[in-house]
Amino acid sequence: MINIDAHNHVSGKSVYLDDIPELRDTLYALPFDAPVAHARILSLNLDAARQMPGIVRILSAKDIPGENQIGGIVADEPLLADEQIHFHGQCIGVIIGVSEHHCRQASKAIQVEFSELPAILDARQAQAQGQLIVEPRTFCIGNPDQVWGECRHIIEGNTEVNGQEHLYIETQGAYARPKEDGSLLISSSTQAPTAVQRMIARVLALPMHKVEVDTVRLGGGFGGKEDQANSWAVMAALGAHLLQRPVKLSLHRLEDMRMTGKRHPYSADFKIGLSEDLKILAYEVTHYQNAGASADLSPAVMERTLFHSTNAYFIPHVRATAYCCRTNLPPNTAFRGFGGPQGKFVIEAAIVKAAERIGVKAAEIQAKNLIGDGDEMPYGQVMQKTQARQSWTQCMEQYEYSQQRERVDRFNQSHSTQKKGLAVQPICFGISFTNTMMNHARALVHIYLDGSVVVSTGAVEMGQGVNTKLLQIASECFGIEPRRVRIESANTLRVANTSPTAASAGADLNGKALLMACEALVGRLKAVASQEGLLGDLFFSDEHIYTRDRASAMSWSDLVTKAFQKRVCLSENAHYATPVIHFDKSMEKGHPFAYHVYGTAIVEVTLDCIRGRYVLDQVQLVHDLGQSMNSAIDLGQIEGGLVQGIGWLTLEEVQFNDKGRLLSNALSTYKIPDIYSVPGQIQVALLENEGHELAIKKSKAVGEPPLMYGLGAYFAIREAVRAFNPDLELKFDAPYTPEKVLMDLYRQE
Amino acid sequence: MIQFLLNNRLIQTEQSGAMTLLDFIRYDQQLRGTKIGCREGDCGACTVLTGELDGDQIRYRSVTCCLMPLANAQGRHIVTVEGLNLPDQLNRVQQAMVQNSGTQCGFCTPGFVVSLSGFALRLSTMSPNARAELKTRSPSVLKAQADKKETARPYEEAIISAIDGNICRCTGYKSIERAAFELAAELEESGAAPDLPWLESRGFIPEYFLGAADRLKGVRESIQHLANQRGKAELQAREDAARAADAASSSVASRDSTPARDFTPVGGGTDLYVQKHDQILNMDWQFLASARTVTPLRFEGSRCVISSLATAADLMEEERLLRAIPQWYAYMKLVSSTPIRHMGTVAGNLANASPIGDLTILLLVLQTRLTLRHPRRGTRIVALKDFYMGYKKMDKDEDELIESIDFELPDHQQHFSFEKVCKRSYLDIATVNSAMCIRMEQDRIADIRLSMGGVAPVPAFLAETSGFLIGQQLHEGTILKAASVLQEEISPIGDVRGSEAYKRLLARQLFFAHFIECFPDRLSAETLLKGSAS
Repeated sequence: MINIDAHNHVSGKSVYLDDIPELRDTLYALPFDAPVAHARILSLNLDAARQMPGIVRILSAKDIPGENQIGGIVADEPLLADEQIHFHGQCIGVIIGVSEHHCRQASKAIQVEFSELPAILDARQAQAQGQLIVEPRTFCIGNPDQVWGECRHIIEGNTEVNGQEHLYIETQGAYARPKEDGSLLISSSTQAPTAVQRMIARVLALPMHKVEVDTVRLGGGFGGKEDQANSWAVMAALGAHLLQRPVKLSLHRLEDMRMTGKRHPYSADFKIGLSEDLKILAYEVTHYQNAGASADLSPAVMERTLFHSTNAYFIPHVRATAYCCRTNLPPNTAFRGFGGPQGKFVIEAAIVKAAERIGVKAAEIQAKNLIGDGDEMPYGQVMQKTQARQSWTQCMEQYEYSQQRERVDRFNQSHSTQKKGLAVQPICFGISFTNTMMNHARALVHIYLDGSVVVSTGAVEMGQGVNTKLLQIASECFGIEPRRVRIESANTLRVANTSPTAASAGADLNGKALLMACEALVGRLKAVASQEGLLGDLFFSDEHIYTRDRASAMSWSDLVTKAFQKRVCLSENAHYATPVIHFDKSMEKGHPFAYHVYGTAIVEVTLDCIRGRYVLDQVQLVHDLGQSMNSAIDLGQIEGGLVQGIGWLTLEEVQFNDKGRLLSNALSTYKIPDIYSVPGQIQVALLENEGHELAIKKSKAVGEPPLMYGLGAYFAIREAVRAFNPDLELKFDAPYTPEKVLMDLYRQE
Repeated sequence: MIQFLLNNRLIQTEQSGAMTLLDFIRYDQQLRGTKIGCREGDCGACTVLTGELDGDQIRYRSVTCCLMPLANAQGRHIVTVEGLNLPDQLNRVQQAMVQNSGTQCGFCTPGFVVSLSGFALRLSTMSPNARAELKTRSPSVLKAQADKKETARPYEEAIISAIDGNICRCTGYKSIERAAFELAAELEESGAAPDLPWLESRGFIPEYFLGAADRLKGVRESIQHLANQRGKAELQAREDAARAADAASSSVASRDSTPARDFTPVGGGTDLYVQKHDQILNMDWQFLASARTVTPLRFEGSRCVISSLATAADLMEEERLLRAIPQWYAYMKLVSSTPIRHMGTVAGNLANASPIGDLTILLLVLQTRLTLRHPRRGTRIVALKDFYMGYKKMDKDEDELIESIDFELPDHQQHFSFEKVCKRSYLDIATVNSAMCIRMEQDRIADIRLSMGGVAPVPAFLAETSGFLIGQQLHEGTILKAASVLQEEISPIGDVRGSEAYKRLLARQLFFAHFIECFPDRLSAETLLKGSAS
């Protein structure tokens, strides 16, 4: 089934935040922010700005009726800076006026005096100075210290991996409208309507029932609108609450890039030990996470880094430690993969470095250490239904890896100004929020008198196709035409206390809840049908309810009418909480994931050794979708995730100056992949397997895992660089930009 | 008053001409299918078509309307995604995007739909020569010719080029590429040319397009009529003022000292609207584009003369340039993106004085001259290589405007080469770019002109390096020595596009690249690269 939004998207009819028709008396809000990374605010003078034409009010911290606090995990983030500035781009106030243009003119008249303080931008420096947001955590299995002696090869090193700007094409925004009795309706471009509701209630000192948050769809999220949509919605709500007029806030791209956090940069130290036959015996890693100025989701992101520190490999002795380091950068946040990709980067770097030292191909080491059934992860989960080896084998065979290997090696022997690189990238990604508490969802289903159905869940549509999957679930369960089902916006009045649409879990959690609701309705409708004389085993199909032998039937419409006449409830609200999962943080052991997603990719690049430019020739991959319920949508997630991962490790370079000011602050200086920078060919094959019962309809979660195939691009480029400059000891410093490539090609020891 | 056709409707508006067309479309006309992604022409979410009347037909071009002044819509047909919708069903482009899952979050999608539709419309007004030229660039055509097969997709290169200014963060582009190839195949079916009736019958465009040219003629007549009326009124006012001034016996000198203009002239607007987005509505402008003619290029012997309103696209598509410089199309493709090239003027690129302006670097080695017009002193001519005096400082009076630009076409005895490296190969600003024009006499370099951007406060004409090479034998040793001269001549600084060390290395590499590309049989790339490393 094609994405149900596609028709409206292509005709320009889909409504995003800034497309909602404004009410006539709508005001516009513009946040103003600090031009320094770390400082005390000495004075804030708004007088001149207040006198500017079209300005209705300028809000600062002292206008906040409730708590000036939007920190989710840790209460360490004010909505508006009061005394101290902790990052360049931190908001100090909100200008509200009759147009965005007027607000912009007024922003130039605001006078703030600062006393600058030294800024920390580096995670290791923050750690050395004790600037930790939460206590460090360590995941352990076995004891590496006892086995280093048994290792034939021990390799140590360190890695740097930079952040990534989300660059959802729709910037952050919200539109708040006052309702009666001091309540508010807020349209927000958020992945987490409940988080927005909760923060508005906290800052405005309102009970949550007075705050209705509604989200129709996002123009991209990728994690960037999980926690960081809150500020803008709270600011708009604050304005609407105080002025009792509608207030809209829609960030300009430059503001969005400057004021919001990104994927976390990580620095890491590793030590890996292998046996003579290339089995990894021990692995030790220390991650330094650059969290930025406040916690945001960093502790949770750090946790997932630890969970994925061994990627798709079984290693009997592991010690993985992570520090959540406070720096003077914008608070870094969720981004597709949520710390997992950074964890995997280090183990892959360790394997590549070991392979280079030992003189084998990394693929040899990778293949020998893939995880299998019964293996225990450092976090205590004993793996079942693993697909790591299966996906690897299928990938090697289907794409004739060994022939490709020979072809690439031959190419490199016969070319002096061009070199090729080849990398194999297996992945293993755990599905569930690692915070067990968040793994639940609800679905509200109404069947109306005419037989049409409306579904509400907490799932937010942002292009990933969750609404299409929900529609499939409902229409299949009821055996009715898709056109009879409408998926409504995520709205806190209809579905409460929801988890964000994140962690690849949107379709699983909300889909399972929806299925439960539909099945409950099916049960009630079958009872009605039985009373009407349809006996035995009944089923729904083709807009009818049938007896098993299809001898008699009743139409869906008639059945609904009968049910209504018999005073049967045609609405259902179901609750789903993922079974099985648990995790004990005091022991750092448990069974945190419902299941894992696997896959293997082969990445080939060609490097222009004159100019330092590279082309991704092809990516060939085998991916584990279980039993895909929508292969068109899932293929889109695989290709899109892969390209986003490649972007992170190649072109996309978040750059700050030494004062903590973002230099790559626009699309002209921060380059995401365009149509010419994606792989020439992307071949996707699906891994045949039965799927997992905890996945919705055995169709495994797909949002995040494919991003991590992008790691292969980094290591393929590295191999090509080494083919040209074999004597150089290369660092691990992602992204591998054309600049770093050219410098490495011609660097002499 | 600004008058134009917006989709199927006549617009007559008194809004400021400095307002962006994007804001006008979204917030004045409430057409919200056109999205805002970046407001600097780098994402394509706001792509619309602008159609210019050319005889009896309209030539449509995609543009990012976040950088287009409303004034430049004067007399044109502006088409947004809403204007491409058919009454009861999706159009062909939309169908292809849907069927191939070319849309996910959907925010960039209207831009892609408009760009792809723009390609179909562009084919309808192309000369047979130009269409044939398009096909020669298709990799599959080249491959099919080599393999002697007939499975080529002639328009595949061109249709992907049409969406090179559109950024998508969700799909990874492959599904969009599949949709584009499907459309390319269908357009190829049209045989000779997919003219408007064919496009309409196939559901590419709604029916009203068939009558748009006639309506646009009416709009232009109305604009002309108003201009004539205004002209008469202004003439009268000026005569009255002159009589009043004479009466007050104001001196010629004092009149001469008043600035000739108190406005900023705007051509395409592509750079101004990025740099001064906030100030635009508060400044006085004069929009020059209404003076644009459809053929802004002409030739005088071997010199190409272009008007100040010629766009990068005009330069890119000129048949004589394509013939004179075999790689011309590929070089020009490195300059910005399709929609920006449709708006940005060559003169604007030169007058912007950016040290990394691609067109500036290209033209520096083609003996380019600028004709500058002063409102009272008349015209004078300046060589482009002498035009830049310091960072953003030019040999140009505040009151002078570039009237025309002329440059020498390389003849068949010359090699011309352009190199550009940036973070992303396309739709990016150069870290370092460079051009070379060289003429050999046997093994001797008879003449050479080199330019380089990103290595000095100005777009640099490399006089010393060029001078060193003139008269030298062409071999690796010469090039390596010249590379040292080059390093002395340049003075790059580190910035967001690269460190100083990187720019110096890149300067050397691109310098080598010119020679490696032009003289693959005479020079050993390996020797050059290794020679410099040791």
